[in-house]
Amino acid sequence: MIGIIAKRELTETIRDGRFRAAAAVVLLLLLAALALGIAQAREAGRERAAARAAERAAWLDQGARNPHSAAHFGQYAFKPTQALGWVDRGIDGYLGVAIWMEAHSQNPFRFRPAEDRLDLGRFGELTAALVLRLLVPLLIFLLAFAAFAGERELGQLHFALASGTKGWVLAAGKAAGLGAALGLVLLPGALIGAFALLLSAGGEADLLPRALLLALGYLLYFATLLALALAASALAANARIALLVLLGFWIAGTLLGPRLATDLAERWVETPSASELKERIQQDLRAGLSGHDSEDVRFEALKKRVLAQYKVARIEDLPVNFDGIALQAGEEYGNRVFDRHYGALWDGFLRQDRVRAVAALASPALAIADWSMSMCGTDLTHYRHFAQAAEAHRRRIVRQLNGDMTRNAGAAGFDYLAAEKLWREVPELDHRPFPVADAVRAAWPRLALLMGWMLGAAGFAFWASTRLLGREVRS
Amino acid sequence: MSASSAGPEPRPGRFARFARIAAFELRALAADRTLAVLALLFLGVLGLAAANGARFAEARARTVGEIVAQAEADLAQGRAEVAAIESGRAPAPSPFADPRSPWRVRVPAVLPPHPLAALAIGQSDLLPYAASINLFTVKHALFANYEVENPLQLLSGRFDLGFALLFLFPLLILAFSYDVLAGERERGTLALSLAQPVSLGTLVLAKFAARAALVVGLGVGVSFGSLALRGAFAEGALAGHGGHLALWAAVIASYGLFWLALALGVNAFGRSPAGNATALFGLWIVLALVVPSLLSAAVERREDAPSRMAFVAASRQAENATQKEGEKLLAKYYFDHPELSGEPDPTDFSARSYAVRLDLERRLLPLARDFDQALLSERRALARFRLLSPTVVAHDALLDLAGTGYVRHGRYVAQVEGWVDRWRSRFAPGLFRREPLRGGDLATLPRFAFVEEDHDALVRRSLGALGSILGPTLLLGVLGIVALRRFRVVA
Repeated sequence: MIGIIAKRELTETIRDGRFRAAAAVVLLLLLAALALGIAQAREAGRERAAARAAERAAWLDQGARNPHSAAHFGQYAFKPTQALGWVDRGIDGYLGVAIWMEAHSQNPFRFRPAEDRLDLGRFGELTAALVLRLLVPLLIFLLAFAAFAGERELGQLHFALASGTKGWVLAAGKAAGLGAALGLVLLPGALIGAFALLLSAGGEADLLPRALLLALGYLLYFATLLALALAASALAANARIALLVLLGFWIAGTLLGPRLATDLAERWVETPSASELKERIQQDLRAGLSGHDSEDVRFEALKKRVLAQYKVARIEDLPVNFDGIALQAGEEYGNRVFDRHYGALWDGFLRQDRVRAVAALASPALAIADWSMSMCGTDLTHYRHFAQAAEAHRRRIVRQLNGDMTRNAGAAGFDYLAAEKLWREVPELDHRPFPVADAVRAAWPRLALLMGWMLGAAGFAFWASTRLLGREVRS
Repeated sequence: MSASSAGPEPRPGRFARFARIAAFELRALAADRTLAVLALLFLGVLGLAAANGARFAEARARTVGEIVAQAEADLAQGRAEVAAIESGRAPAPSPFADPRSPWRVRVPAVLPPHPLAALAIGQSDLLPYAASINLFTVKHALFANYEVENPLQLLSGRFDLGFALLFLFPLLILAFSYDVLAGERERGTLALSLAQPVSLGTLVLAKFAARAALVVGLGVGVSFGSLALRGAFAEGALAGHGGHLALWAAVIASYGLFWLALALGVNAFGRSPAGNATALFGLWIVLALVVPSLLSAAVERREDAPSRMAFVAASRQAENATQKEGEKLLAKYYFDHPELSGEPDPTDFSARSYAVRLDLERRLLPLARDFDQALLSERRALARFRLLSPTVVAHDALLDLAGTGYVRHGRYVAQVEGWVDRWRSRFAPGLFRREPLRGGDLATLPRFAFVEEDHDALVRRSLGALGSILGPTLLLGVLGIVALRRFRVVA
């Protein structure tokens, strides 16, 4: 029975001119967004490779130089292009493209692409994710708002129920038929996506599970919306009210939800401004983490310790260069200060994200947005992983350069010049992509929320459809 | 009974009929429960949006104040240290730490919050607003203190009055106007109305005039109300901004009229209420959401757009080159500035650093300008298509008026660059003559003050935007009225 209803629903939907027009627009936009995303991702990959090569060349081309001067020159770490960034660009445009790794300070990402772009960015970048999250839900509502309410107005629902068909069977059949119609729209996009995946595969082993988990998220989201639409259609007095309720849900969820969540997150979790962060870090570097451990005191203690270690009375008598030791000690102390403040900053960001996760209890649009970014590798967690790798690399190269200074500078101190050989010994940043298992571990509450929403919506639709007969009898 | 009072009552004039219908329509709208609930809901949402915008603007004003206060405290400390050295109470520190070294003095250059900033946050959460200027500041990297902000928060954007008016306001207008004729026709009351001495055109225009008065009053009222609630009018903070407020109201009004004209056009096609609603909602999706993202994708997707990664790579090569030439650059500087009548001292770290930075700037500023140029040409390309989406036009105009758009920010950056030049011409000679600053110099340091644009330019831009919104509005209105001639009054 469900099959027959589904088939009829599918045929009717495909014949509907409004559906065909809307579906064509959505499909065209989806394909355009995919093509644009793939082209952009390839270009970004090329740019990054060129920038990395130029950066390495500049590093090797320093000539004879003091190691500490080289540490100030530092290296740039370029933000990686993520595996599925062409589906969902996530926070890409709003995070800088590079981190400067230099002596004495941990730096944030620099050069946000959004600053170099038109201020239309926040209207929404045309990506596949935008089409899937903004327009496909509308298509679903357009498909389903009249499923019961329209038939009720035409008197057809009465006959369908009078023939003994149970309400939930009717709902299941309609869901299957409408789902199939939607599938027809999304299938070409999915095929192109799969094709692009095949072309870009090879680089990353995680690509397939990521793509499948991404698809699972969207399927759960679409199923939720379809079930909600059917429930609204079954409960509403007429099709107009059903459509109004569904559009209200869409406006509140997709248009208002993210912005309201942003403001809530900011209200509940405050993060420092750049000047505050800088001031706090400077304060701790000057006065010490305990507040009674100033730079001078630390320096004197270090001197005493080193002289005792080498059993000499004067710095000049040390067999190593004291500047190198002092620089490294300064770095070690600085690293503790950076860990405290940057750790707190990123924790603040992630806590703000959790506020969004709580807000997703009220809107599945927020849950799918976060899940989508996470599976595409363009969320905070992925970039924090990269920022941490860059910071670890910064500490490694500064330690290496200070070590060279300590061992080889001797009495020349800051006038000592290291040769090119040293620059070659300093490695490039080797950033491993964030494993999908870790991404899932960080983002699973979103998937759980989506499942919860889907089950809840299905239950709601089932309950609403069982009341169909009662309503028809009463009316 | 006089002869003159006999006979039929004189027919009211066309305008009087129009006014009477409009007044009745207003009463009818006010009596509609659903619309009243919608309007109240919208009012609540606008209130929330206005409060959010105000909170952001206040937080920004606080941060700017703190930055300036901190910088002033640092300057005061520098003055105290110099006084101690000059009076012999403290020993002269090493040149590296000497507060009298010209390169050590720095002053803040902040973009003060605009009095109307609370109305639309715009790009102000994204663009830099505070620089710290000293002799080592280079124009290709003015804002070294890079703003840290949760990128996800930036991506979502903020919920402010500008957003609510651009996106939600049209929906409210459409809810009020999707069913001006169709419902009446279905109920048969339209034919009855037209049996009175009134034309369909007058009837429809009067109905739309009532709606226009209602929704435009709502949009403008909430904007001004939110400012009034914050006491903006009372404090005199808006003195001199009356023109901006009037233009804000004009943009909101014309934007509202555009959506009403669109609704008029759709109504004139004579479809059912449900058909009208679907068509109008679809048009809203296209004009407010799809067209802007298509436009930005089309305009930004150009081959010659420069890349920041390539900029970083180029800047590294330039750094290497200037670093190697460090001493030569210093000698060249003295050669180029005979008035300094000095000899380069290779151990003079500060003079060499300054010469190196100037050379870096000479190499990199043209590259940095490429980004400004690309953005400018994107804006020009966009300007050609702006008629395609009144939402984009209104967006730009509202941000412009609230001082949170790109024009004011561009002026700020240009003024900071000019300030850097002034700073250099005042303090660089002393650096090369190796003359320490005196207490008196520090007491009379100049301060950066942002100069707002003169009103005329802003008014011209706003009038251009108004024209870009009102042009299509007028066209739609005329087309709608022409289409009404073929409207079938009886279903």
